[in-house]
Amino acid sequence: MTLGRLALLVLSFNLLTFGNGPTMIPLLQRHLVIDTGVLSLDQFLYAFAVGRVTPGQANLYVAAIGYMTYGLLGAAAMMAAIQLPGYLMLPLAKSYERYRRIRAVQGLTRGLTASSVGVVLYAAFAIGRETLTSGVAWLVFALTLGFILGWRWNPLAAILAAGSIGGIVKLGTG
Amino acid sequence: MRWLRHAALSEEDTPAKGGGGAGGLGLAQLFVLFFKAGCAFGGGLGILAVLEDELVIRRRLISRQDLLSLWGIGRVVPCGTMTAVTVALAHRFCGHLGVIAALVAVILPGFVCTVALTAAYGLFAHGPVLDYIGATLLPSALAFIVIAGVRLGREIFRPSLELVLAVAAFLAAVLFDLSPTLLMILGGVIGAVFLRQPKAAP
Repeated sequence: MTLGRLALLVLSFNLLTFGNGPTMIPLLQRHLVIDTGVLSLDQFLYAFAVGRVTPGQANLYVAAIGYMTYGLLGAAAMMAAIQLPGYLMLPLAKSYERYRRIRAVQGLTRGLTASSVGVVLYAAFAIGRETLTSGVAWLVFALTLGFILGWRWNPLAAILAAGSIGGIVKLGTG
Repeated sequence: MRWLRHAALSEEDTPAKGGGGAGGLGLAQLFVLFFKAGCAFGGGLGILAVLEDELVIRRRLISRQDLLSLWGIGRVVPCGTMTAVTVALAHRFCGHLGVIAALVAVILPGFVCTVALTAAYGLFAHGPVLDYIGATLLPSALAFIVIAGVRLGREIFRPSLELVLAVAAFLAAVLFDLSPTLLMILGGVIGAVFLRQPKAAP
């Protein structure tokens, strides 16, 4: 896949997000991991994890994908791809009142959000079948969920704590 | 932006006269402000909190109502919400040059960290290290995806057509291996037809 095609792919998927960054996960996973094999599943998950533990916008994980495929130029191109549509804000803000009242637009965003919940959870299901293949992996997965949902830890603390515990258990069990 | 001037402002939110409003922030100040916002953890909400603190509370350049209105519009722009909010705010203060400066500034901290961590992965993730990452880091990443899906659907996990759409999309992907892109577009079209808000009473 050429850099231009990759940037176009991210740009078009980004247009479907409507403020819901995770929406891109199943789309990118399908095209980059399953269909074209540009990235391995491990690389894809690592990129996503990096995006969660670094400061700034959560969708910066596409920079990691760009870097893995085309180096610094790829990372910069991915950033441009997710930022360019932001310019749509200028005309939309001017005609906000009219735009807001279009009932089909309201329905479109609600429908996109609903279906994206299904496909994001499907992506998690599909990735889980390949990733959760050992007791340690299940332990780290459950700990991360517990730390964030139960104790409301930030992602960086959760990933460090769960990974450390998982690492110790892995060393202990050989 | 005429609509912004019509926004209802509460007395405590009203921007300070004189120093506030368009032109109250230079290009360098704008860059520093958005760089600081880009250093915030917590994704878009973390950035919004910094912008609120700087623009609404400390500098009083815009009202809280204005900021939240921008956030609301940003939610329906087909891109990241904070990208849209950044464009609108930067354009308001410094025009198109400001937009470019703010977009660069807001992604710079995260971009540098992301590239550094990805480069480290390329250098060190081989053999036993890769095995370790596979067993410890990647399950955490999977948990993040599950959490993202749950949070995204927080408002639709109740008996509704949206819940039916979400379940149908999940099942269609599992049973028929349909493309996520196709499922989302279908969801959007169905939503545009069946999920419209009822017409407001005259």
